[in-house]
Amino acid sequence: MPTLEKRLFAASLRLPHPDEDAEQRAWEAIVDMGTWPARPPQRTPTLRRGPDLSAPRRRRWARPAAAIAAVGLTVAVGVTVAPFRGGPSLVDRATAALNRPGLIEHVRLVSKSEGQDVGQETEYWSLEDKQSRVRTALVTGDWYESVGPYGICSALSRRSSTANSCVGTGEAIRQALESGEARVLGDGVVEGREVTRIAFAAKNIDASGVYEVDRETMLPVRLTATMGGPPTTEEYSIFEYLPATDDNLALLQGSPGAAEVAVGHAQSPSGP
Amino acid sequence: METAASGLLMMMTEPNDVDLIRAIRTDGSLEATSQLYRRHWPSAWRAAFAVTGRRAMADDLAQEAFLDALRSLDRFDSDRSFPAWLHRITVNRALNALRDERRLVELGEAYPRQGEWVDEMAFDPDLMNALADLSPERRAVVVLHHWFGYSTAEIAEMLETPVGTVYSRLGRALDQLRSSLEVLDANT
Repeated sequence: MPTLEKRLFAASLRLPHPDEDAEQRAWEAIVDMGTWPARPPQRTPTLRRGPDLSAPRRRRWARPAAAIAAVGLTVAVGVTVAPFRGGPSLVDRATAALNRPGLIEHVRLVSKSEGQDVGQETEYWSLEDKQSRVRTALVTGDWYESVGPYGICSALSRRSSTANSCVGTGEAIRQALESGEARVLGDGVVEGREVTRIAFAAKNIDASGVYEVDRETMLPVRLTATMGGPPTTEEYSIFEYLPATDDNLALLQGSPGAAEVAVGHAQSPSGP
Repeated sequence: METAASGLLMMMTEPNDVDLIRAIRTDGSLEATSQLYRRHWPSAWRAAFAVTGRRAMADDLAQEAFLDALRSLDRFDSDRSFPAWLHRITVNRALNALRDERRLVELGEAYPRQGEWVDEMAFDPDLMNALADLSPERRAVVVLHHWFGYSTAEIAEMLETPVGTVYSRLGRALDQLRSSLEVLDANT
């Protein structure tokens, strides 16, 4: 029988979602309170809209909800029943694999909040905290880019106030693994890829979760974390480090011809 | 900058909470309110649900908590975490609501012992039943610590309770859960 703590953790992954009606009612109450005109919450990020190039990436990234639910259940059950085993050497290898200064981090991912696909795929290229390009493809086929002299803030830095919190996903995971406790849960398969599951409790950001790494490359495949809120998951279909050659550095610039449609706000690389 | 709370990756596509709160304070920006709302309201709802175990109650509590937060935004310290502050308001509202309900029960009105979570999270009904048997105060400490990842010091601040009391409640709650589960295991 799994320990009480493991059962509680597994339960945290199964907290239900609010009804859309309730969410809409609450929003209307907020609008009623103010003097502003009513408008439903917008879900579309706006910085740059992609131009109508001859061959822009316009794929649909939505995945069947059933498959997502099945994956979520697999994680929950896996966490519940898998015994802790293995040694620190594997965690050390996974940590060391993310220590890649001077290289360009190239990642393609989908985010899931509370087990549900948020309907977009994100791809980014980032050179530490110096330069990054983020490209977001929505299920509508639209895509957006954000380019600038700042790094990528992993959500693992969400509750961190340190100035170096926007140094990329890999570095944020590495710092999290190093700051607290991490143990090997066991092996598994994610989207056909053989992974090793690592449970972690990061003291630097007071987060905990399950980190799944490719057994061959020891690079991220999936991350599920809870940080004072509902658990969220990122699945990485691509996670690689590129040498900083001229060709690869060009990937950090925006797509040619992209039209600026909105400029939001002052950039703050260190996050909140 | 950070992305919506719905994604793990915080990218430069949306302003962070501090930017949004500043826009709401200075301009009464509906757009900023909308972003802050969709980013954090679901989490507030889940906190309310975790403590009360009832959807309808969570709907009302999360709505009132977010309204409270907006009304008192001028008092919010921007150096702190907005979601933690919202959780604090939500959980305290939930505990007050359950205390009020308990007083009504003492006057003879009935209310369900178990929350709906027993049905909604049926993958481990024994654990959910055991959680439902905890007092609201103990349950709040357990879910804040084990489900939402708050430290005992943070919980103490949220509930305006000494850290020692939080430790004590947490320890006793876990002991009670273990005892309940042992009894259930022995009976199966």
